[in-house]
Amino acid sequence: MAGSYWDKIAAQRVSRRRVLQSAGVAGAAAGAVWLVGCKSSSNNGGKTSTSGGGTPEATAGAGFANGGGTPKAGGRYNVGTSVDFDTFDPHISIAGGVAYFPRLYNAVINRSPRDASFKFDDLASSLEQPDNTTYIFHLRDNVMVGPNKLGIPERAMDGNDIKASFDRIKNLPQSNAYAFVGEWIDSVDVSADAKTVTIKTPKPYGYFFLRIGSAINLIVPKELIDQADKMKNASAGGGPFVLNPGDYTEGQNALLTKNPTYYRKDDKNNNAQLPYLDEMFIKIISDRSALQTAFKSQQTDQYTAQNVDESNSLQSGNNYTIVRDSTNTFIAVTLNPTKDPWKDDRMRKAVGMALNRDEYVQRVYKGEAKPNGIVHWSLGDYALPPDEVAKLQPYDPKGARDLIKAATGKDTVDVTFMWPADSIIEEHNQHLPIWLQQMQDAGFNVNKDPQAFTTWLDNYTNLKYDASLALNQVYEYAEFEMDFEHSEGPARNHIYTIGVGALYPEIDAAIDESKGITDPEQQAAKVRDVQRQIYDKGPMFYPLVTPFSFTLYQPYVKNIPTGLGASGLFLNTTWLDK
Amino acid sequence: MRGSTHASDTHEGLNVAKEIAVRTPGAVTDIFAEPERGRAAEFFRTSWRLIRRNPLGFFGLLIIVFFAIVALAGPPAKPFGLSIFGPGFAPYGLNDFRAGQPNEGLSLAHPFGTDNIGRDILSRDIYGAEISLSVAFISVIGGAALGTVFGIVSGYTGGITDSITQRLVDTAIAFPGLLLLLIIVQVLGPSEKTVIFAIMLGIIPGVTRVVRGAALSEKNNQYIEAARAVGASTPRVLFRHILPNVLALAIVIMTTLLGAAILAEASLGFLGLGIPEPAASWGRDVSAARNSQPVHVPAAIFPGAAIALTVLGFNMLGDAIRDIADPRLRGSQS
Amino acid sequence: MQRFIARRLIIGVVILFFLSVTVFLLLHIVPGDPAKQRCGLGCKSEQIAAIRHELGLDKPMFPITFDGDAPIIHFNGDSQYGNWLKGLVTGDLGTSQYYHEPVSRAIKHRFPVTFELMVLTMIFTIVIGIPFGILSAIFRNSPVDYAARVSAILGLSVPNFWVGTLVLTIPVAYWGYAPPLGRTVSFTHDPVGNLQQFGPPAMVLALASAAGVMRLARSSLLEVMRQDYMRTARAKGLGERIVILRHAMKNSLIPVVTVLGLQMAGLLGGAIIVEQIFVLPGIGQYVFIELFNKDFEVVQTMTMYIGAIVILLNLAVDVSYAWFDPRIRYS
Repeated sequence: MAGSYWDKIAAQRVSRRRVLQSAGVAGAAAGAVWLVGCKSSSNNGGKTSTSGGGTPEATAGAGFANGGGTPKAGGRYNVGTSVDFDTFDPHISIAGGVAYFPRLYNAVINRSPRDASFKFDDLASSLEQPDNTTYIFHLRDNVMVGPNKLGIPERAMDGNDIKASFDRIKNLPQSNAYAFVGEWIDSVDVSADAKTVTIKTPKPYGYFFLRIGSAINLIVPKELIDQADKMKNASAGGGPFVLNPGDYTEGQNALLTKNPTYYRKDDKNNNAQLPYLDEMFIKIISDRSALQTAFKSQQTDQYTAQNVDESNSLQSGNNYTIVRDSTNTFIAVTLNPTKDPWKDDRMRKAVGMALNRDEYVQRVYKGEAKPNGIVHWSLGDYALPPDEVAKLQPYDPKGARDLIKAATGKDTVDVTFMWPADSIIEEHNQHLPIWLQQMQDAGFNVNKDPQAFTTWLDNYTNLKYDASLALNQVYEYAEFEMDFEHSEGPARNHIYTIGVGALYPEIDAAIDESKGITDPEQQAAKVRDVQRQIYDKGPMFYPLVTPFSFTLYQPYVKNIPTGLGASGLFLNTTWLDK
Repeated sequence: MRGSTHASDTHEGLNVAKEIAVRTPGAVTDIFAEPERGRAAEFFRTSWRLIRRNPLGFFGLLIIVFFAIVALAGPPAKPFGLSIFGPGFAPYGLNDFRAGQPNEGLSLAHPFGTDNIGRDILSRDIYGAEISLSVAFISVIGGAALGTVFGIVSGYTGGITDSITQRLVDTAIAFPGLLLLLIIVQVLGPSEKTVIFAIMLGIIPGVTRVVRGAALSEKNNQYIEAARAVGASTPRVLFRHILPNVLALAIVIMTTLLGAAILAEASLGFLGLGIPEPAASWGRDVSAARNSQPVHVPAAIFPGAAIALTVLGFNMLGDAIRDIADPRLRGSQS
Repeated sequence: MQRFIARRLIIGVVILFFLSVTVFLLLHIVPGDPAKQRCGLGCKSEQIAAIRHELGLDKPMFPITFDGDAPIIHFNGDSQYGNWLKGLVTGDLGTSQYYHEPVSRAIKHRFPVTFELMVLTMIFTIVIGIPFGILSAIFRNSPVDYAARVSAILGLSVPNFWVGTLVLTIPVAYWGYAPPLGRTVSFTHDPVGNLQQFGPPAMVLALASAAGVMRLARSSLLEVMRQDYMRTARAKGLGERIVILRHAMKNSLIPVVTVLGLQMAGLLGGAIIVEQIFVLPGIGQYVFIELFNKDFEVVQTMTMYIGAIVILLNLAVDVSYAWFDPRIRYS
């Protein structure tokens, strides 16, 4: 998933963070969530929901903000989004819709990359793993396709829908999960009674659980797949909401209406029918200050602030609920391993030493960010511990100069850095002068080469550059960051920057090995080891810092899921106290 | 007609030329055609009279001189830059974000405050002056020069050349102004060179049309016929006779166009398709301030005020020059 | 008169044709592969090929190609330029790759927004510009005149994005007030809300246009008041006021009307910056977002659309001018 889909978002310079921000859900590192009263506890083990369809327990590291009280049903929830929807087809949409597809359609199961103990079993109520390439899902029989105006029969979703969805993705090059399904789904077999689905992977794949429930391979009723055109502006499925034809006005807004036959009930509230909300109204407001104005005047119910200052200034005199969560975005420095001087380990390490990550944390994010290793810090156990990161990539401009001298015999070296010049993401513009200065201080004479985005993309994918400051990257899984250091790049087709694995085959082998470990704890440990190996040789790819996000909610929004990333979109226990 | 609308946005500015061309009947007075008297005292007396009659114009000239000084001496000199005074008097560097904390208010150290990563706004605005003025001057002088050449050739030659040029000019003017600039910059990639190129392309058609009109009317003047009768060659006629008269018109238009060019560069910067970071484009700085949260008011106000002042200066000066150049309206001042 | 109009119409069509070629060329010299850009990084080559085909990029560019060696001209029925032009003429304006919506539908939704903005702006312009211009001319060199002239030149000089930004941010910061955003309020349903939304941007736009009109009205009236026939009228002993009202105003307003027409043409093309700042889903904002997101097909089409409007309005202005002043007709 991270490969094609999020890159499309990044390529369109709409970072996924902005997309998720507009949905107001951001993730948190396990255990790093600001919440009233819900600290992590090892006793609170994750409970898998049974086929009754109850609410998953708030698990370690995640929780709910502004909880308490007896939920009331009803009301319309207003959201502002800066990105318009291109289509509501969940398999091919590349803008805006991703934050809302889990409201309309079901996943097989969903696991959160932020919180290892979160398990959301949607279409499947349980699963078996007889060996490390086979997954047998036992499906519920009560996930009904909701009342809809597209003529899709209101029947129970079953294995045939799952097979039809995956087959469609496999045969549709434009779909976002094309690479994932093509590479990692060997077969999808449905039992005769359609209540069991067996999925096989061609080889052991440790990221299977994280990717199978992604918002880009949700399950669509098979009749709807045959009339895929209808999905552009409307929906029909087993999700908690439905988008009826006519309820979406291009460029203006979209109205999601509650599905009265949604299968989930709130078992903490007398099995009340979910979702509590009657409607979700999504307004498209492309301008940032207009989004803020809308929130302040109560035209929208949530708003993601750009930084802690904005959040604090909005809060003064008000009583909003502020949720501080980690994100998955960062700006990265990429070096081209086919060009001198980056073939020399010392030069790459010198770049690492030139970077003073604290300066970005302070100046760009006012302290609300943390430095990244090769895997960014919000991915929990997959990232190296912070003190180890600080030791492996110290800020040492003098050391950098020494390395440059040792490698080239000169005090300073001329390098050309390119970047896409027309970025509307202000953080990118803020990073740029800081980074240029840090490079300069460490002995790199930077020859500035800003380019138009298409030219930059061309050069980036054709490896026609020395070094680049890359846009906001958004990676949900460590797999992608690891692949950046692999010689074949993330799409495994050389259409990308090639990592340090191009110089050291043993690193390639280690990365491949880490992909195939199916036990999550062991996989995380291996990923940490591979990072140490890479640091030893000098990375080709340096993510800088990853910030916290601050989302404000109107005081009457209750029971907001936090710390789960996009997985929180599958929960529908939020209600309005008005 | 005299006193027609000034450049306010690029689209209007480019239409100034059209209005002048279509509505101006006949010759333009040559402002240099005063009889030579050459005494310093006379010069000062004339100047004082001009200043008294056009106080706004004089004020505009002062503003322009002020910004010119800022642009020439503020930033440190560098090759191909406008600034000529070695170290420059800007208190901080262009990207010296360590100068202060982000979003500071006004203080002695930072009279205009700091921007969203800590750079001194006063210094950034000084560097912005260099950018705005150099972009404006290069694009206007280049565009006006090319437009003048095209206009003279087209107007004097007549025939097919003239028709085709006219239609091409009409096409360019039918193109909505700001959109043309945006397209060119987006296609070629945002950079100082492409911005200059785009603005130049935007200026040429208007100037061509105006100059063509003037050249057309000059062509029919008696003394041109006389010159040809004596056997003067075409280039000679063009340069010795037509050009000087047309030049006055071009100069009047140029002050207007300078204001329009500054607004154009600022608008491009504001929309994100102008001169990119880390350059200190005024327009882009306003947009950066607006996109940061919370909005730091000094960062939004001062670059915008700088744009307004500079354009104001050029507009006031342009008004005064036009008033001086047109004797018919001079009387209206008393 | 009819010949005048006919001639102008033909010229207009020629200009539109030149415009189409120019804008098509402009937007096709873009470096980089739009298919790869849409697909994103990490795409497999069959994905990129599928998108290329979907976008029609595998067709020849122009309907006319020259054979390498022999001087033979090939005519291709299925070329990118040809198909686009055909679509323009038949009304098939294509689909936006960004919004995934037909362009014609977008225009239908957005034109009323831009139109209302234009109408409001012109109202402000006329109501402010003309009276002050006239007053300024009548009481020339008085304090009123100077004040008006200084305001006008200020109005022309301040960047509209700056004023627009201040207009939006300051009320919100100090009084918590914001006009309704994200959804345009129809005038018939909620006139107050509608004016709240369209009023401020119209005022920002009117700053510049009213200033221009004021200056033009003033100088035009002054010029007319100097004319010989005015002296004759005064010599006849008519009161000053009647002189002005009856003779001067009508004639002096002719150039003002033509400039108003030009301003209308410019506004109908969409005020990009103001629509963007005030989040008005009009034509200007549409074209800008499409251009910014490199959906060049739509930008081409919209440029033709805007160009056609501008040309038509210019024609109307010229016709009205020629109607007022018969000398022009036969030039």
